[in-house]
Amino acid sequence: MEGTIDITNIAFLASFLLLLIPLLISHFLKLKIIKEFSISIFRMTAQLFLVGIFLVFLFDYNNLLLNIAWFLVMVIFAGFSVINAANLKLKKFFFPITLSLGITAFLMMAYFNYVIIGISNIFDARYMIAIVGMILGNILRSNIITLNNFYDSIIKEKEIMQFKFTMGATLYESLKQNIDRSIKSALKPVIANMATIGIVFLPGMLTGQILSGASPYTAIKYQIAIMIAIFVASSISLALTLSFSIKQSFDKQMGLKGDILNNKFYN
Amino acid sequence: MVYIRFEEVTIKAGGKILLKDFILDIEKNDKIIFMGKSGIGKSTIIKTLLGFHQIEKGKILFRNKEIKNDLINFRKKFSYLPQNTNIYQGKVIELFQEIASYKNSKLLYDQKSLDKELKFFELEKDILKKDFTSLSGGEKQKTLLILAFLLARGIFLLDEPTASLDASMKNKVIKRLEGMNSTIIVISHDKGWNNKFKKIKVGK
Repeated sequence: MEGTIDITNIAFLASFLLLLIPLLISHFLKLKIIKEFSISIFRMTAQLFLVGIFLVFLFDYNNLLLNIAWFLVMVIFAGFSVINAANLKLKKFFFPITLSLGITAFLMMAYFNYVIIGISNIFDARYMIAIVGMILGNILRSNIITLNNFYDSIIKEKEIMQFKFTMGATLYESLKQNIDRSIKSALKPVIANMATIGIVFLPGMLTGQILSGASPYTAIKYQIAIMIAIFVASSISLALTLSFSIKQSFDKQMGLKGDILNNKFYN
Repeated sequence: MVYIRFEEVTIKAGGKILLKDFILDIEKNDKIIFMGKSGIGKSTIIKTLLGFHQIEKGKILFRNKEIKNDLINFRKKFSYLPQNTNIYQGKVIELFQEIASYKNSKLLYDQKSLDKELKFFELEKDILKKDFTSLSGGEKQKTLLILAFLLARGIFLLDEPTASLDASMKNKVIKRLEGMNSTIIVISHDKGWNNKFKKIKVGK
């Protein structure tokens, strides 16, 4: 592999020159977004630089315990952001959802690194961070869609559930339609994404590998494998997330607990 | 023996008191009707019996046992008609099939008994193939009444069962209910219920 051509510091600054274009546009159209826009650019730059420094450090040491610790940090952050975006109570859902994401990320990473790539240390920093990051980033979105959809629907359809319970449905029987619908709503974009890939857009992983000098064949094999892994990981994590969260959400009498959502109270 | 007992029960609905220190003994096969204007939260009484609404004070007993300790089994004793009849998406026949498939529903129906019910409620047979959501309010109510009659559990718990029925169908249903060997608890703002039903006023 010849490796990627590094971007010189001056050339790197030149990329910021491009920002003049949106700046001018928003100035003339008086869009009043210059402030927000500058903050975002600044945050992105600072965060990525910090991560860059941190990754250099992680890769240099490539220490098993450190890598495992970083794996846990990634999973915990993913758990926080899912619960936050899904408007759920952190106290009740932190453990079940983080556990679901963690189990999924670990299983997929282990399979991917050990079976597909064939490295013996599945926690090797370079591969672990890339694969787990890719998987978590993607299942994050599907978990948020599913949880939003599921809790919205069971609150809207509370009377339907009560009717079904009274008719003799078990908890699972009365929630089956809501479970089906919320899982489908999250998997649909993943499936659509797989069908348009390569033609509509070139995903970041593929682009990155091609730029770093890998043969397009290698890049494409990685991309296909990672797309499959993302789809499988979405399915596993949605099933786990829902079954763990449902346990937290209903009491023994099959009543929906009143204190599971933030900002919304219902009776 | 007393079947269902309300022991100094206070129920609130939407912050307002609906029943206060309410005492009532329901014997087997009694027919009770809770009456009151619409909009005061009468349905909450039914929700409380089903254990979906908390009692403010007091106890409800079924055969001397407090229901809140065994709600899941207690619920199975009801043929329940909800007030909000928008409870299903799918074909009418699939509603029957789904409920029959529930682990604890014990819904048994055959074509003959279903046909008989359709005839009683003056519904065409092809209603079974229609989408439940496309039915009129009256048709939905009739379909769910059929379900309640087919379930034939010991206690009928009917929330506004005549609200969407025309006058002659209303009388037909009331007549059928009063002749049944079942405990019947009705919530209604309708005045057409006769003296076979013990009337209890709710609200002021």
